[in-house]
Amino acid sequence: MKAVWMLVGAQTRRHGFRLFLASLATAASVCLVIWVVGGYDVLIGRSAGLAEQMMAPYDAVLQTQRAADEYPSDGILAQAIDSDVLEQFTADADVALLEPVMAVRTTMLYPVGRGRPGAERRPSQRSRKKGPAGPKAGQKPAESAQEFRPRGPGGTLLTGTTAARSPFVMVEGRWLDLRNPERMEAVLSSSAAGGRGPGLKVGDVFMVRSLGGEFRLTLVGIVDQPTHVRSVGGIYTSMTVARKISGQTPRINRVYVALKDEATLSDFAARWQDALQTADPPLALTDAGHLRAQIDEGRSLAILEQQRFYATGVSILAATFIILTTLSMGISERIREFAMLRAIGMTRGQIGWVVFGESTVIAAAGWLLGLGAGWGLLQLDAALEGQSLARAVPLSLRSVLVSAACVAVGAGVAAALPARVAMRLKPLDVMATVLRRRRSTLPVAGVIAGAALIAVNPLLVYGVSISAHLRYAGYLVVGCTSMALGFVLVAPLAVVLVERLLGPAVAALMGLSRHLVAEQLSGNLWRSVGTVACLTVGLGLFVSIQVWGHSMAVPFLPGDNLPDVVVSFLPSGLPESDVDAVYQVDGIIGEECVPMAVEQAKAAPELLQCEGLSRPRQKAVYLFMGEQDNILFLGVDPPRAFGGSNPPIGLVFVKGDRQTALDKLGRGRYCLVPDHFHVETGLGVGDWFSVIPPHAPDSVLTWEIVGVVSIPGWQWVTKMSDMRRYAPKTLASVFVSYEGAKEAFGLERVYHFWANTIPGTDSGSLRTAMQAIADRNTNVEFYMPDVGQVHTETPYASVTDVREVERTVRWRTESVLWMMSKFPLIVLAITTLAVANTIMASVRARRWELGVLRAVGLTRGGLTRLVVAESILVGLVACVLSLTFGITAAWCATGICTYIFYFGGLQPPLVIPWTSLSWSFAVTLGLCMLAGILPAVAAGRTEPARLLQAGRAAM
Amino acid sequence: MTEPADSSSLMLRAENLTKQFQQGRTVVDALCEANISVTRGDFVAVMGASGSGKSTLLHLMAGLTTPSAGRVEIDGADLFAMSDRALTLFRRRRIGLVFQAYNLVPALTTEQNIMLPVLMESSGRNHARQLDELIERLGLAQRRKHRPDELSGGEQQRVAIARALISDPAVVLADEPTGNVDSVAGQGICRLLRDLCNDQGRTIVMVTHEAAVAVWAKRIVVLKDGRVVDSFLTAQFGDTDALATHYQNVVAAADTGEGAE
Repeated sequence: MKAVWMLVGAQTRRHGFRLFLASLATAASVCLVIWVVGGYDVLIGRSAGLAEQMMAPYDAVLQTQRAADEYPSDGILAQAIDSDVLEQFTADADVALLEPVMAVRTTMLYPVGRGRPGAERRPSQRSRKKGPAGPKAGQKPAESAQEFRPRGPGGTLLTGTTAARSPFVMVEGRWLDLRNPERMEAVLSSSAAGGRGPGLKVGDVFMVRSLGGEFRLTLVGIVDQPTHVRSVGGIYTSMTVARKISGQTPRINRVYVALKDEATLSDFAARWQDALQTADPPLALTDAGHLRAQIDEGRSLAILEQQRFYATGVSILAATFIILTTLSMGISERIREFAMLRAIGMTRGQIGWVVFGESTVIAAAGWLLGLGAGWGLLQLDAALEGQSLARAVPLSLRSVLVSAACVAVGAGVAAALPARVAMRLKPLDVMATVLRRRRSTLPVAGVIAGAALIAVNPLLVYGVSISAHLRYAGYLVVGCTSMALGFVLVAPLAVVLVERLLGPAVAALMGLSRHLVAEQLSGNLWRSVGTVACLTVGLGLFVSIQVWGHSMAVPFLPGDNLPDVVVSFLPSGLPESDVDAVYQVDGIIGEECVPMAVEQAKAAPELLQCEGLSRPRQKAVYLFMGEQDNILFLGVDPPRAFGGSNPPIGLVFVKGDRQTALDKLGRGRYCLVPDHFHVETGLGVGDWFSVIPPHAPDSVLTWEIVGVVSIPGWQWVTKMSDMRRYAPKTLASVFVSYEGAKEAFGLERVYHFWANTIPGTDSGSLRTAMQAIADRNTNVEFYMPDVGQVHTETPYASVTDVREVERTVRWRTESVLWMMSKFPLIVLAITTLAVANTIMASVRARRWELGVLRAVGLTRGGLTRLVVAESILVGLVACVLSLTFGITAAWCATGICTYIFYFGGLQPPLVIPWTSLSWSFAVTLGLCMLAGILPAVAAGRTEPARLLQAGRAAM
Repeated sequence: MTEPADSSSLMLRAENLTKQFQQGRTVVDALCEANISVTRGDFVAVMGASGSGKSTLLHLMAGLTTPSAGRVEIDGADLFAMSDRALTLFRRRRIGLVFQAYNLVPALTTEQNIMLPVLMESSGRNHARQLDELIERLGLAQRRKHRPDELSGGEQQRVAIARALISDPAVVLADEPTGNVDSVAGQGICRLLRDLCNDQGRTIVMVTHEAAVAVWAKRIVVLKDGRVVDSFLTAQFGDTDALATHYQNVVAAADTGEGAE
């Protein structure tokens, strides 16, 4: 082995810069693994501490079983803890401290320009199309119309407390002054106040909305408490203020418990288990572990886990291709050397070890460099999150091991092919007077095999009839792998085609004869394939993410058939007598304003008791049993909403006859369902489904489907306008008649209006005018199913601009896609180093040829342009291959999403975002050019004689 | 065609060595039933014009390619009865190869290039003394740490010869060893090979087409169209010109089917 290591060492010294570049690129791959895997581990590690920090100084929380298990809806929080149990709890000898509180679900509104980072970065209110416009410049906002915005859908839990002192460390201001419990003041957790970045400051005013109405609160203090989960309160007020905001009678629905030092929580919980389970309602004692699970769920650790595998896989691929190109370049340059080694007695095995040794050197150097860089990146990440640099984030053992495995696999796989080539060299090759140039030919069989492998994934997704689970597993395990392998195998064809088709254009662009660039890449096909594959790892992923993301967003973008605004009067709604006032508000087109009777109803369990269910109904039952266990009923007056030549809601019928459907709709329990519901459940025209009306939970209502319509974008419009009263997720929005909905669900008031507006209408003025109508109905008493009697002191009006929703969805899509695309773009930048490496080796391998070209008259500039042309061609092949890969992968991904995500029920059209793709291709070509410039200039500056000599010596 | 040697001192024997190549549908005889015996300490030059089969003969004797027929024995070992691995190890230990194009590893120094064959062994035997002796003898003392691209052609070939000798081979096979160097350096290399033969009793077989090189050998085997057409001692000729004349006569006689002697 001495000779092996001596050769490896000598080669490392001789081609130090090239190996350094390969190591650097490998290091970057390792760095990515460390960053993702290490970051994940750090996050996992922090979850534990975070949960304790949220709970401090308490040991456990006593709450209803439903509150512990489910989304804390108004109905769940309306359940009070049995007072007898509370009394017994207080008397327990192990209890050191009890803190009974009233938790209230609220929506927090931040003043515009404050609050969580990102709130102020949302798109402007000004409508690009028709619909209401934002406040005009210089316009003084009315006090009541001062802009406050929620940071998005979802709520913040408000805790009404009687604690005289803050249970948490105060970081700013003071604790609540409970001597004046009527004061509308609040303390916020550090997370709710804004966390890092510009947040709310003590003295600021913010707003909360709940069943009691809309209230302004003054921030008096901030406590050091992370509140990343929905079950932990971010707002603290006095019990009096909490009751006012809740609109309900005071109740204790949560008790924080601190045990004495000598008591253990497990013993305490075991002792109380039976009593808590038999209480009415059943209670649960939850600890930090429960919170930790919620934190992990909130952080979507499953997604992070997937990202970890994704990052590891991509890094392995990148490292493999980077090392592969470096090694294969080395082999092709050193054919004679290896043959000579065979001739003087080196065994095939020893030759193989030389190649593996060089691969190991690159991998080891890259790994060590990458560990350092990854550690640095983690520290930087921590510093950006506001952590002290003194508290250095350690590298987790797992990240070190995963990165090592990643590099080892990459190096091993990358060395296999070059080693095989080197081992197959015959000793006689050394005797050839002129070095035999192994001209690569297109591996036709490989290309055909590649095409077949690529076809596997589309076949799995679209072509075979198998269960959704098997399809998804097959897609992940077999489909994606075979597609990636297939594209590597067809890459030679892409190289040859691009060279032939685009080579002349590149030659013309660079002012070169097309003959000079005719075999730039195909002359050493596998080296070119390796380099192109390197670039395609990053660029192909980027293209697939962009195409997939933009395609998947289509069903969520509100179409033109939705009205301009949704006006909501919450929480108590308007009496019928005020409906006309809404029609007459300036800016509203009265005849295109549709009052709605909206209710969210759970699917009936009776469905499950039916025997011999048809397959579509089984599917429907299956879906109803999930998290989306309810239907959102939108009751509208059919002639007003859908009638006329230009109806406010322009329905596109997918199934059923429009006229028949609309006629039936007004006559009873008939409904129009959205197309995705039809596709997912198989329920169509003439089929029925049953729901439980919230106001009469003992009854069941059955609705017959009279039409299937397309309503893209309903999801976010209904979510952002607070139409979903009981649960944030819903299976579908169905249209029913206004009167039918009112009768079926016992609705007496009107909560929502869908309306078209006069172009240029100011949204601020619209909201002010609507608020004036809402203000006619202050201090309303009403009964809310699942909650009970509610007193709304200050009802509010909100105006949801549908175009604003569209812009928000687009903005969110772009943001998410950008987050997802960061990783492939970093990989792309890293793999550019491989291009530099390849071009350097290509120049080196062709020094004699280049010397001859110079000798026969090619200018210095011409030679430089020739080398740059090669790098551009490499970039072009990568772009073509990435585009093909990206579109195919995205097509398959959107297809598989129809099976694994409910809202993917419909196959969205494939959207290719040419603008962002064009930019990425331009960047790729630019990076490739940059990578080629150094070797190009170096070659151009070398004297022809030296090129000739160096080339001969290499032979 | 070659005179039989005493079997006890026989170092290399090629019997009925035939090598055929397929060129399209035609079978070409590169070498046809060649018989050569080389005794221990002999220095044989194989001469012939381009395409005469001399390089093929050398490749076969080195075990770099397999014959269509015939056998090669070196120091009693039948090369083509061995497995690929055994043949590789035999070549490493018992055959020294010198190439026209030197074929040094560009990344290694003079010392490292010379030591390469012995470093391939796992035995770890110390060859430092042999290395020093070879470097001294081949005049490379000032070039120990230089890489091939820092050496002249003659120096590179001397390094290649040293590499061929470091494992103390049974036979040294040299393929046009002066082909890539100037005449002065070429003469130096020839002298070196002759000295190695005379002083150390090395057995050397050298392929060349130049009479001025072949004259340094003790015996010359002439090849024509893949056949051994003559074998003679160089001592009988006073100078290179006489040898060249004789060689041309042999070749011409082979053309007409007559014996040269």
